[in-house]
Amino acid sequence: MSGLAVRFRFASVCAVTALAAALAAGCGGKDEDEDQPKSARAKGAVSESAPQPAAPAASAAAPAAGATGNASITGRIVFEGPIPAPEKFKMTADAFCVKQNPGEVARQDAEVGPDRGIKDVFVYVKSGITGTYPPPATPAVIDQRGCRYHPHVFGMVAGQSLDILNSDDTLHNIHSLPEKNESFNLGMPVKGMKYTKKFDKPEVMIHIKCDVHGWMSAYCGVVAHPFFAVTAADGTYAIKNLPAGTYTIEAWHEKWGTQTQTVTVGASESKAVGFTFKAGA
Amino acid sequence: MSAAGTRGTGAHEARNARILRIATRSVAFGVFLLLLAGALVTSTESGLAVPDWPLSYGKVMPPMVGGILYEHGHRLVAAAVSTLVGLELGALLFFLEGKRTVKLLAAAAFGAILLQAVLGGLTVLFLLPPAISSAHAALAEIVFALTAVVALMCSKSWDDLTAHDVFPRMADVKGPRPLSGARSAPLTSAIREENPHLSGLHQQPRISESLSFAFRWTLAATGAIYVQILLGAVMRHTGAGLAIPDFPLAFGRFWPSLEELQRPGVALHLAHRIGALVVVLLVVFATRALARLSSVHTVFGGFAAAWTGLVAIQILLGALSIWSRKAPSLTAAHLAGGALCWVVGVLAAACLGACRNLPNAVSSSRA
Repeated sequence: MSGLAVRFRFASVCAVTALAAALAAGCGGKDEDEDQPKSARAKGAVSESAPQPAAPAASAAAPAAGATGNASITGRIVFEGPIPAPEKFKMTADAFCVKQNPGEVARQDAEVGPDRGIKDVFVYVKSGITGTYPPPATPAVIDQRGCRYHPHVFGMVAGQSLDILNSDDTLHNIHSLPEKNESFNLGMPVKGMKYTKKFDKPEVMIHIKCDVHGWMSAYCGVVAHPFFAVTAADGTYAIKNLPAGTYTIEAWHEKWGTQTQTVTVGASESKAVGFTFKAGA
Repeated sequence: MSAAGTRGTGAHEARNARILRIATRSVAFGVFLLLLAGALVTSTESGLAVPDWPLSYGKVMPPMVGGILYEHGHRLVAAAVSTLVGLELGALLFFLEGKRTVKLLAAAAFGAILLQAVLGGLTVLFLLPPAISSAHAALAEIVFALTAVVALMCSKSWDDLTAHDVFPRMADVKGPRPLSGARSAPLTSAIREENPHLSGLHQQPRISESLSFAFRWTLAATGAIYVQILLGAVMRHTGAGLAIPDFPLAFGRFWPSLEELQRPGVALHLAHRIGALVVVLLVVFATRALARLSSVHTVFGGFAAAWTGLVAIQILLGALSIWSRKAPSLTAAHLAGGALCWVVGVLAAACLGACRNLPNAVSSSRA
C-alpha cells in the first residue's frame, strides 16, 4: 500500500470518528431558548405546552351524564401500631435544593401525625358510579417547588388538564410512569416553565418522578368521575356531592397498599367510612 | 517487521508496537469505564434525567446536578471513548502491517460503538423501552469484548502464543526446563506422569486435544456468561432486580411457589439465579481445563485464576445487591463484574482458539 493511500485511509477514519463523537455527545452546540419546551421530549403526549386549560369537551354521542347529589362520605384514615419515624435524607445532589431544604428532610411516603392520622391517602369511589362525567374546566396543578412536588398525592378526572409548573430556579424533568395512559418525560430547565398534559384513561395510581432529583416523587389518581379525595395531615377526607347509592370505596396508600369498604348512602345522607392501615399489611 | 508487525524499522518499529499495545489496552479500559458509567445510570435510575438527545436540555453541557451527572456524564464518556475507538482503528490501519483480523475487529468495534450511540439515543427518546435498553446493554458487552480482543492481539502474549516455535520446543522437552519466551513456563511433570508413553513429538496430539478440550469448555462458559448478562440486563430494565427480595432463599423457601412465580419479574429473576449456577459450573470445568494448560503458557493459568476469582466476586456482588436493596454502587459493581467475567472468557477463548491447532500444524510440517 502506498504511503498516500494509507494516510488517506487514516484521515477518513479520523473524520468518521469525529462524526461519531458528535453523535454520542450531542452535536448542536447552540443554546436553545430555555423557556421553550423544544428541548424536552415527550412520547405520545396528548397535548403539550398549551398555556390555557383545556375546556371540557362534551361529546354529542356520549352516554348518559353522571348524576350528582347531596350525599357525602367522610372519614379518617389512621395508622395502627407504633408510629413509624419518617425516613430522612439530604438533598445533596443539587446545591439549589440544599439551599431550599438545609439539613435533613423527611420523605413523604409515610406521613403519620401524632394522632395517627395518615396524610396523602387517595380515597375514591371505585365502583357504584354510573354515567359519564365531563372533566372539569379547571386544570389540576402539580408544582415543582423547593425540589418537591406539590401536591405529593392528588386526583383528577380522566381527560382533565394537568398543569405542570416549575417554580424552582433549577432544572427538573417530570416523568410519568402510567400503565394505561401514555407516558411523558419533560425537561423543565427554567423557573416559571409550564406544560399542560392530560391522562385520558382512568388509572389509579400514576407514579410521577423526577430523574434528576431521585427523591422527588408524586402520585396521581385518575378516575372517571369527580368522587375522590386525598387525606389531610390529620387523616381526614370528604367525598361530597354523591348521588344516593351503594359504593365501593377504596383507600390507596403508596407504602401500605389499598383497602376497600362498601357503603350505602341515601340522598343528602352523610356516612363515615374509616380505614386503618398498619405496616406490612 | 517485528513480532508486533508494525510499520517501520528497528527502534521505530519497536516503539510503534509498544505504543499500539498501550493504546489498545487503554481503549479497552476506556470501554470498561464506559460500561461502568452506563451501569451507574441505570443503578441510580437516571436514564431519563436528560429527556432529550443528542442535546441535553437543549445544551451541549447542562448543569451537572442530580441524575444529570450520571446520564450526561455517560454521554460525555461515550463521546470520548467512541473517539478513542475510532482513533484506534485509524492507528491500526496506519501503523500495523498485516494482521487483517485485528483491523477487522477494530472496525467492528467502531461500527458497534456507533450503533451503541444510536441505541442510547433511541432508548432515551422512547422512554427506556426494555427491548432497546437491553439491546444497548448487550451491545456494550460486545464492544468491550471486541476492544479487549484487539488489545490481546496486539500484545506480546499473543505473539508468544501464536509463534509456531513454542510447540516444537515443548514437544522436545525431556525434563522440566523453560520454554521459549520469558512468559512461557516449563512443561510440567504432571503431563508426563499422566502420559508416560508420550514423549517428544508424541505429546503434540495430547496438547492439541487439551487445547481443544479447554476451548470447548471455555466457549460454553463464555456463552453462558453472555446469556446471563442478557438475563441480567432484561431484569434490570424491567425492574425485576428485587422481584425475589431475599437471597439465597426465594421468599423464605428453597423454591418459590407457583403463585409467587406468576408475579411480575419473579420467573425472570429466578432464571438469572439459575443462570448463575450454570455459569459457576461451566466456569469450574473451563478453569480446570485452562489450569492444566498453564504448562503450555502461563497465560492460561492466569485466565483460570482470574476467572475463578471474578466469578466468586460476582456471586458475592449479586447477593450484596439484593441484601442492600439494590444500592447503586453495588449493582453497578455487579454489572462491571459481569463484564469482566465475560471478557476474561472471550480472551481465554481467543487464545485457545489461536493456538489449539498449532501442535498439529507443527507435526505436519515436521512429517
